[in-house]
Amino acid sequence: MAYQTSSGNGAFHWLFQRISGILIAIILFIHLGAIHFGISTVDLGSPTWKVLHLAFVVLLLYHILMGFWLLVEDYVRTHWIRISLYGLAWVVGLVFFILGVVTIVPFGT
Amino acid sequence: MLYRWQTGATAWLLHRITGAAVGIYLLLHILGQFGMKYGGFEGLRNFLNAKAVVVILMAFLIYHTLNGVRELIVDFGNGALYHKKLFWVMMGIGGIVYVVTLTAL
Repeated sequence: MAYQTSSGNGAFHWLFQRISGILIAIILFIHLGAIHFGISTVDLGSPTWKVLHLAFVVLLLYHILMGFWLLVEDYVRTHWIRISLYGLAWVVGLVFFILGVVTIVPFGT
Repeated sequence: MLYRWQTGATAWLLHRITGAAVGIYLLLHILGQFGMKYGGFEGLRNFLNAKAVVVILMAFLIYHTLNGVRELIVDFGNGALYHKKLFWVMMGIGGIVYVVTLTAL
């Protein structure tokens, strides 16, 4: 039961949850300061911002869905629900990655 | 699962709650921006931009970030010795950041 739908790579995920968290905090600070609090005028269509935002989306999706999976591991005991939620996490990850890419890449054009 | 209302356990539980809420917000934010580009989801964007929602979001975001920093310090330092004190230091910093944020909204 302990390893159902687990990649068996817990230590990597533990470490990368921290690494992604640090990177997210940095990008979030830039994102909020520049865009939402309007500290400087920004061109979101520039390659720099596109790369930053694409990285932001990928890191966030990893961090959010790994966090979600931690909750599932702790609170969901029923096997088939766990499997379903594991699948749901992947679907959400892929769908929102595509939503992010098709929104960010053509930005400003 | 049983929770004892001690600093560490409470901080941990709040980290989960704020993480789940902020995570959902950010997914909806991606969806909203997708709608900005291709049309639709205007109601969603209005909801996400509502002042009451942003005020809660910023509180959750600041908490999750600073408690995350605390967790990093606890994990990679001698955190067991000072994690409680560190929690209140972080909450102090968070309070100041939150006030500054609210005035800038």
